[in-house]
Amino acid sequence: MKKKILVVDDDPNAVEFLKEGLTAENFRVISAKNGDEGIKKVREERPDCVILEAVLPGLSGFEVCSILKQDKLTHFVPIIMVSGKATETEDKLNGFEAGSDDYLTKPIEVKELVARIKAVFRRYELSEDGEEVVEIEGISLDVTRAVVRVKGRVVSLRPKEFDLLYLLMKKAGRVLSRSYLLESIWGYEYFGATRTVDVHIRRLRVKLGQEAARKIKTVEGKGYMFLGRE
Amino acid sequence: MKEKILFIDDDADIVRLLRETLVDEGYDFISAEDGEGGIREARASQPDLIILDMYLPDTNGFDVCRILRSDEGCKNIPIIMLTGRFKTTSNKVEGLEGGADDYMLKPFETEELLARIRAVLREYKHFGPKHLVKDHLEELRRKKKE
Repeated sequence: MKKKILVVDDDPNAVEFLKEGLTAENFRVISAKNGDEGIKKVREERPDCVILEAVLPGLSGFEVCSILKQDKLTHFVPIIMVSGKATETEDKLNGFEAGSDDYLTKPIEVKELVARIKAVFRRYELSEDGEEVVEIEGISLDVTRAVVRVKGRVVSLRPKEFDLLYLLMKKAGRVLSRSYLLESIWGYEYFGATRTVDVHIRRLRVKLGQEAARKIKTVEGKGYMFLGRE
Repeated sequence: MKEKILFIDDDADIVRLLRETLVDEGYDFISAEDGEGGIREARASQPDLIILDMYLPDTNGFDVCRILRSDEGCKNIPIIMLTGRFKTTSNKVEGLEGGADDYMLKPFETEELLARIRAVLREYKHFGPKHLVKDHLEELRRKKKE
């Protein structure tokens, strides 16, 4: 499925230029000519990425970015801000401060923009259609059916154990600290000790069985890592 | 816990400048002066982010990035490429498509580099896993119920 890009810019020539360039690169492009329309389109049309001009009539691009990044429903939509030749470092700092994921100065080279869009997608780990099954060396995790199998045997996990395994497998090969796991799975509002993670890891290992459990490696003083990748 | 940044560059002056700046900003700082040392350090120290100069004594940043991206232990560590020599659009595209998260040209404003570091770490730390584990799972489960 083609990724949808929203271009927010009041300059019709700039919009047309990006529409042509990005469409040729296999993106679907929609546009908005001011900040209010841009916010509305992000909420209604859920684009995969927003290219946002900093200087707009009415709400500025910085304000639009800030509003979208503070909104629970839209904060995870990547935003790349752009502005004209007169861009100062301070403009870029304001953009990043507002939550922008990248900042480009016009004139824009479409090929560079596309490479930066893809880099942002990688950071957000937005897979093409939303990855629903993760499988690594005999362990498979089916998100839609909430089923985990080890070499075909169904393993019953509690929701937090399931989410923990999902994150470890998605980030296989990377050491994840206890606080990182705690924050990601239990959320910022959770004030439990990082020991909570150890307890869940222990239960998870028992349920997965001896062989599969060895895939979850304890990294002394750092955290946990899932070994290997499909 | 402090976030750890590995800087791979053979220019001692810029290493000193970034060490001072990043330590002042509350990061742990480690460095390596060539590609081989950088890869070794990345594997051993598992930094939260790597700033990679493109022109190194033993190799170039594109090759270092490619090796790190194919390394099981390092492939998910964010990389910001930094260069004073490889400045063309095709260089930027090559770097970004090769797995870099950002590509900055020298000379640079340290404030902008810090803002870009924060942006990359923010996405990895907050939006990446949070989006995956909370929003993504919830959305998939909601779709299943529908």
